Amino acid sequence: MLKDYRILAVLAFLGFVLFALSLKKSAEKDYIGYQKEYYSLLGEEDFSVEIKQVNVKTPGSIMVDRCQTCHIGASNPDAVDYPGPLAAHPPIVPGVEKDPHDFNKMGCAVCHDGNGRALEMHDAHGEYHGWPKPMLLGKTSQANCFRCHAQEGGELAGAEHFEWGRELYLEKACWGCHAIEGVSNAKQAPELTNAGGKHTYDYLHESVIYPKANDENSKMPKFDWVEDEEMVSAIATYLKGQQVMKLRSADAAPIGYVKPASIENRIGMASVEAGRALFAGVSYEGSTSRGGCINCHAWRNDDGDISGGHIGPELTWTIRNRGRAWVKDHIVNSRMHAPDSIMPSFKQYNEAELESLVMYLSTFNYAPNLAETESL
Amino acid sequence: MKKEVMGLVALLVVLAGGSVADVDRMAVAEKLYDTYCVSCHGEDLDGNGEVAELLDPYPRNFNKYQFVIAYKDRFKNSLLHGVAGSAMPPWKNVLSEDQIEMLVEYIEMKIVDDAPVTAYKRLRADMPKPGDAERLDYRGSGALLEVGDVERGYEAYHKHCTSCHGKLANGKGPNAIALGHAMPRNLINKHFLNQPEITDERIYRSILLGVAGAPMPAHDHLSDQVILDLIAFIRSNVEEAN
Repeated sequence: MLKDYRILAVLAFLGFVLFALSLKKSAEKDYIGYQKEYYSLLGEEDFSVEIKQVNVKTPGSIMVDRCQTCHIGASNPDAVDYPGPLAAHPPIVPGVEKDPHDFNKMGCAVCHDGNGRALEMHDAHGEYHGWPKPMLLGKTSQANCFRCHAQEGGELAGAEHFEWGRELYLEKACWGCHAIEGVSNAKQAPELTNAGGKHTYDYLHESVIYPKANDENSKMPKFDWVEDEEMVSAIATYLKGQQVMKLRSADAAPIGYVKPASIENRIGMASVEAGRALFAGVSYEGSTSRGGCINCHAWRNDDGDISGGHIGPELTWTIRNRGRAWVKDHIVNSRMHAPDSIMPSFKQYNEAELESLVMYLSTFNYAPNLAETESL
Repeated sequence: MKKEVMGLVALLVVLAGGSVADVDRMAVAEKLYDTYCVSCHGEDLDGNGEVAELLDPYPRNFNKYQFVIAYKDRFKNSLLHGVAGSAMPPWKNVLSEDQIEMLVEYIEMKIVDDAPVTAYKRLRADMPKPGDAERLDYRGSGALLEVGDVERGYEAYHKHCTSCHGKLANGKGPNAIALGHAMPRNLINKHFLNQPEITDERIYRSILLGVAGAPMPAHDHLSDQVILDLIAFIRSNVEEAN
């Protein structure tokens, strides 16, 4: 039979072992393993494991970026085929010999968000509740190009996903209800000038697909195109890029990209073709005038085939029913006729643009052939 | 072959008591409905077509047979001239009067003929005239009726109406969302309320008897004086500035 003090001794020994194990675990960081693996792949014998920290100076503060402690091969061209976190970063700007982005100066979190200070994977990737900037991966990180680069007009090489999102934002008539500084000043729906600064990518993505997800009273329609994941991702990337707090002022945007002057080129001559372009939401002969009626309203061609959105009433008969003057008034301010209408006000249209739209709507002249009706 | 079958069908219909002309008329009406009406009013005439969800007010739900029985005389006018303040356009330039009549008949055929209670009948209630010694406020004080007063109407409105029509009278009261289709009327929709068809008498009947087939209940506990005051209040909100 064991004496009492022996039990005590065994328990004390067990406690000591547990304590030693916990000490050992806290000393074994993931990054130590990664760095050892990296140097053994490189074939280097003489190395020291260290925390690789980049301090990025921004106008407000200094961003601490320790991502390359694990992602140690990010800017090493020899590390292209290395496994997982050790691999080299794929080129950012396509078709240049030497990529202008130097990770040793700018770090990773500038583009990819996450928590740059952390060394443990889940912390560093911002994968815990409430972290305001979870990591952006792949194409979606193009949203952050515009923390440094100027955004107005122009195309930024390597930011195709973002540019497509910008195009879709106009084509899908998002601008009709939402305001973004420099794009439109609509008042129907929440302003999105700082959408990316306030919300995470996932929040924006979710709100495009299902507007009631975060606001039960949302009046935003659920569009048909939200089934297209690529499209939603592009728009969410564009919205995530809308951040008021920039790392560079517009004047000091990095070289390699010249900020073009915003040009406004409106439709000046009314024509059916211009009206068709406005209706479809595409640019007419390079003009910056935008429409996008078709996202909400449907119409029928002469064969009776219907196409378009199902959010507002069908427009096949509108000119015949209401007359041209009424339709023009309705485009400018629908609340003039129906106080609870959710249609955006297109009050920026000039006379030529309104006339073009009405001219195009007047071309709808489908009527069913009642002579061919079969008996019930 | 098809013609023969059609002929047989027509013969059967004639034998069954209908006339061929009637059947064809309804077939044309159905085609008209499926072309012009279905996107808002829905395949089942339930006011829940493809585009209905974001329209305000909602398209009319004809499945409420009480509504169709009570108000079918209004349908032709609504089709001809549209309903101001809503998405219903005037159809007089697109459809002929005969086609509009066909559509009204079609709605009746679809709804009233299958109605569970064919004997449904709406009560008649004529609006009393203020100062009429023959027609006293017999559900209230029994006194002579006065012209409606906006101030008293405001008090009465906030006592009896706000839970559905809302404090702003915009039809978005706290209970409105639970009522679904149709939603309470937006009482500051001046385009709707200033139509010539929306007479004081019609508002009087809608308050006193409720609206057939809609969530608006009868208010026969209100005295005539209170109803006249309410009408004055509603009218005062939508007065057109001269």
